[in-house]
Amino acid sequence: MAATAPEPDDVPSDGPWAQAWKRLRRNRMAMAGLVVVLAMALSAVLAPWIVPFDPREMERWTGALAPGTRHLELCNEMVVERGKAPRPQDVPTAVGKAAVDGAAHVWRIEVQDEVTTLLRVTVDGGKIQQIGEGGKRHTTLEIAEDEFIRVKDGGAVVRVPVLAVGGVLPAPAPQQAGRFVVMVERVKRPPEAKRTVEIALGTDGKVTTVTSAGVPVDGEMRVRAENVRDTSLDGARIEHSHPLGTDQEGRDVLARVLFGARISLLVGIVATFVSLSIGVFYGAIAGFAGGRTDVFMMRVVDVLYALPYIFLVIILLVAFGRSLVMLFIALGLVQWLTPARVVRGQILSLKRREFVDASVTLGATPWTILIRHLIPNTMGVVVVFTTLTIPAVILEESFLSFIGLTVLFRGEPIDSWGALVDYGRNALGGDGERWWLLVFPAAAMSLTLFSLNFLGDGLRDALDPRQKGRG
Amino acid sequence: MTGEPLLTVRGLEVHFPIERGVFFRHEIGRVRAVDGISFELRQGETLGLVGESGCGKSTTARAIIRLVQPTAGEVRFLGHDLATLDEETMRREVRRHLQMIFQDPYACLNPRMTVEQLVGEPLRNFGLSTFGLAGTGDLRDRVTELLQLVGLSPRHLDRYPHEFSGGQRQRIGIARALAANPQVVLCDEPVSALDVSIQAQVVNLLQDLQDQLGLTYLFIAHDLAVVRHISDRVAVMYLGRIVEVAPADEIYDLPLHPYTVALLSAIPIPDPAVQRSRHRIALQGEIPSPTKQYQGCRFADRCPVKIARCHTEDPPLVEHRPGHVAACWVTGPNGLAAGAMGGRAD
Repeated sequence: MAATAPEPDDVPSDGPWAQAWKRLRRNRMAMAGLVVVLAMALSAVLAPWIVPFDPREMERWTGALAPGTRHLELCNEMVVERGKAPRPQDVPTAVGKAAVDGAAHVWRIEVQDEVTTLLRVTVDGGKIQQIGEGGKRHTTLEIAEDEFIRVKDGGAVVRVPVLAVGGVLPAPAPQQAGRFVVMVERVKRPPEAKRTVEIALGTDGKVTTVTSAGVPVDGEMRVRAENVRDTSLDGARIEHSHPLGTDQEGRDVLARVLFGARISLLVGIVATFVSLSIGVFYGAIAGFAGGRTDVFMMRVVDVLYALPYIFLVIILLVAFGRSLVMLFIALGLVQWLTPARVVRGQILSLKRREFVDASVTLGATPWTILIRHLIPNTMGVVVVFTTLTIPAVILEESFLSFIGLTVLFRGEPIDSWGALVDYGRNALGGDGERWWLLVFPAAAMSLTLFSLNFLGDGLRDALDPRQKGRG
Repeated sequence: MTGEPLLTVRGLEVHFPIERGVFFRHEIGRVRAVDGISFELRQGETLGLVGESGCGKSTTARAIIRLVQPTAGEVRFLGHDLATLDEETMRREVRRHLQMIFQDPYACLNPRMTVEQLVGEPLRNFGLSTFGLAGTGDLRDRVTELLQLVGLSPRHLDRYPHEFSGGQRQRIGIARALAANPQVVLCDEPVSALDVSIQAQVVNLLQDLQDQLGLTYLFIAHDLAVVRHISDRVAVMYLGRIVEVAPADEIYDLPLHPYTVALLSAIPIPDPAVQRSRHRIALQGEIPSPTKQYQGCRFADRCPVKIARCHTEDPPLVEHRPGHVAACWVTGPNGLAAGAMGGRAD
């Protein structure tokens, strides 16, 4: 038996990836990029828990609110009953939070009861045709200053000075084409109907006692949150806060940016994954097969390269429908070409390496060699390509959204960053008074694209084969 | 020690075409890397194969193991003709019995695989492990055993090739070659890329393994001292042909072919006094192009003892002494006449 060869120091084993990671960690810009990308991805995933708003929920009466605006939650209601938690717990927000913090509370709430009158409004083509109140018909209906209107069972109350035939129904109404009838409540809140309700909550978050104007209440009691003043919480009104403002439809911009990140990142990752998978396999097979197969396969790539790709994408989307799947196909069709070429080149040089010959003598089939030896050795390039293709795809999708080819998902346009930027540009206003609608989505997109590019550059340096030591 | 022929090479030729033309490729010449060689490997022996760079030593080994396709000739091994065998049968029935150790220990290991994966690869490919997955006990045990066989430690299982020295990597290469229990191992300059101090270790390891496992080696080298140490017989190649085959000691003591004589005189002797006084033969001229076609002896252009016949007739391998063949018109059983090579003192 031969003597044991001299040992290198017993350091923990460092694979090629661990070495690349070490090099990457020294690159500050790339690490900053990595942090930003991870933060963006995380907040996109956690968006529903970060912002309490549905990005599509419209509160049209508020109009576009500037960043930092707080406004009252207007229309939600809460049901309190002894022995049960207030329902629904998360609405209104502030009350809901107080209910679950595990401490006993007494909420002193000012409740305003309301008087409602029913209106029958006929709408045709989005315009009001008729307004009926009891047996009467109005052409214009003044709404007094202390009155609101509300679509029955439709949620929010709206302050409008007047309802008029030929005008638009301002409240969120059922989206219906053609002629239809909406029942609208005219809401009055007389000051004398104000009373104080005390709700005592136990540590389990359940209601122990309810009193209204000093009188205990048994059974269920409905409290409209818009009229609630929670005097136990520093007298703060129940508010919604919009740190990045709202758009003209009253949708929260922060929610829209974060949910837009979901869509943009998803499109970027899926389309990149699809195109890289195709590109790597195509290039690997061409490079490995060599000869005529290689020549033929690469000429196909050349021909596709020569097509003006953005026209190709537009034609595909217009011809086959603006679906998400079509978008992946269209973007994937364009993006696989470059990785295919690069991987082919890598495989061409790798297959001449001696370890491939060694594998042949050790009984490897051509397929084994391709899958186990050649393709894993191209992964460095593929990782770099991934980080550089994702921003490219995001940008392309945004461009398509920007020129109006917004992709539809379940019949609704997806609100990607590109769509938000397009919306922001249209809603900007003459003096840029609604700047936040353009600036925030554009900033989120630019920051992410920059970060991905820095990360990609850093990875390229970290995985550069020239830096790989031989000893 | 040596027995029946295990692997027989007959008239092996490997020609590489030189092609021109973008659309209509046509052959404008051929590199005759190996041009009709015959020899046999006997059970349990080590046949040294020597010659200068570019003479076709490595190509011979690569043609035998079918890393390059032979142009002509046959290679008989285990009842198959490896020169014409289909790749599928080759892989299933031949490869595990015929292995190769490569020259460059840096290039022949996939940098992305751990030692366990590298040494386990042949076991997996040949279906010699129960589960076939890295990390499973069965495979790991066998890999550990192989590592210990070549003098590496089980601690190295999860390391990558770049963490090893050249000698250690060559040991990994040897472990890989031995994993499938081969009968014949082709050693393609296994120590040429290593430091002199490591060379001896690896050569000794190869010898120990031969004794232990009953291996048969084709040992390719350009270092004649190493070859003499390890070989039972030595074959000398020149420009795609074998010019002389003899028992190892005899070829050093009584070389019959003028090329062998010149080759031996080029061995440096680590004694300045001897080195200064000995006669050395410096061959004139460059090594000729292997694209050239020869009528006579390939060595004639550079041969100091050539006669007219050498340029017109190709000398066959003739057995001048028992077990000692040489391809030369001039030589005889007692070698070349003293002084015929025209050596000079440096």
